[in-house]
Amino acid sequence: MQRSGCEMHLIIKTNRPLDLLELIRRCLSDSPDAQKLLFEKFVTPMARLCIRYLKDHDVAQDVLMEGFMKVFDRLKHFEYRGEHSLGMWIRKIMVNECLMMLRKDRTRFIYVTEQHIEVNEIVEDHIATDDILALIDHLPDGYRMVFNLYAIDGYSHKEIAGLLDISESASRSQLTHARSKLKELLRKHGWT
Amino acid sequence: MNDDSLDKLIRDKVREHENLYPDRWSAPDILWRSLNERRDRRQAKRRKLLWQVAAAILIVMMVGYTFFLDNGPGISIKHDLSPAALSVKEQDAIDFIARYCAGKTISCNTPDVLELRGDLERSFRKLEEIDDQLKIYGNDAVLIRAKARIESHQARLIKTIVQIL
Repeated sequence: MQRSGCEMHLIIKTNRPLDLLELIRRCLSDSPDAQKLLFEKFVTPMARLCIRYLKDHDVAQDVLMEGFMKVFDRLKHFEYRGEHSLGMWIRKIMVNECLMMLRKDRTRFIYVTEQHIEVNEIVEDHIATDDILALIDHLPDGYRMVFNLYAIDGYSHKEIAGLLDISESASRSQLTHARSKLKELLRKHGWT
Repeated sequence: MNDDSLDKLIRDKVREHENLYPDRWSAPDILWRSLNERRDRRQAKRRKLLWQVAAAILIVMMVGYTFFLDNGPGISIKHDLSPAALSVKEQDAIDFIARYCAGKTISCNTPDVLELRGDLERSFRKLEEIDDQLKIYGNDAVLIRAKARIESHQARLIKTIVQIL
């Protein structure tokens, strides 16, 4: 069963829609209902984000919960700067949690060179979202990480270098490799 | 396809996908419950740790207070920071030894007296060192005790030398 995050409504008992600021305020006053609403509002995109970084669903689920615990712990430090600021802030926490998990499990976090890449065949001939995600999943961890951070989550090479403890040029090079691998895969399946 | 259009294509697809809850995952309600259980466990752990820290602080304070009581309430260790202050009697005795031995008398050059005088000189040097350290470290209890020990040893040495002479 797939649920849509957009279908969530911010309503607490009073049945009136709740704006984000009010929701944050209630979360800060330890209202379990408000905290649950906040969780429900962001659980879907954050679950997808964790899967994108970690691939393994069980690990991603675990990291997501750790991330939300940090969100509730640190919410008092959050500065509201417009409608999307909370989402961006939670996203940053989740990305950090994913990277921390990858750092803990060093064996998963290996930068590989071109000759080590093995890509399984993707059978479908049409370009669907699942196929695109499968393509990203097929990238080696180092490439995938940098591509996720730069192209999807909007981090700069400088930030990536800091987060992954690599040089900016290594980040650029990983991105170039990731892009050329993705293009190659797209061409291979007749999508470009 | 250039880099920007590739990034945009993938970014758009990913964003589109972010509205779909992963079907392999437990329902959000279940996740929420397990998240709360985890938070409760962590809070219990934190509380336990806080109690342990509080208990440790209490023990340290009790030990400190007991130590303070052992030294006697209101009594603090003090010492004279000026170089080894000898009593008038001891100073007189030292002057006497110096005058007596300046004449190179036989009794002054016996091995026993020579050894005792050597000890006395060493004890003065040691006292000077301790005084220097006290100036640096302040009223350190160990240094003060060491100084008191040396001073009493010095008094015994002076008495013995005078008796022999």
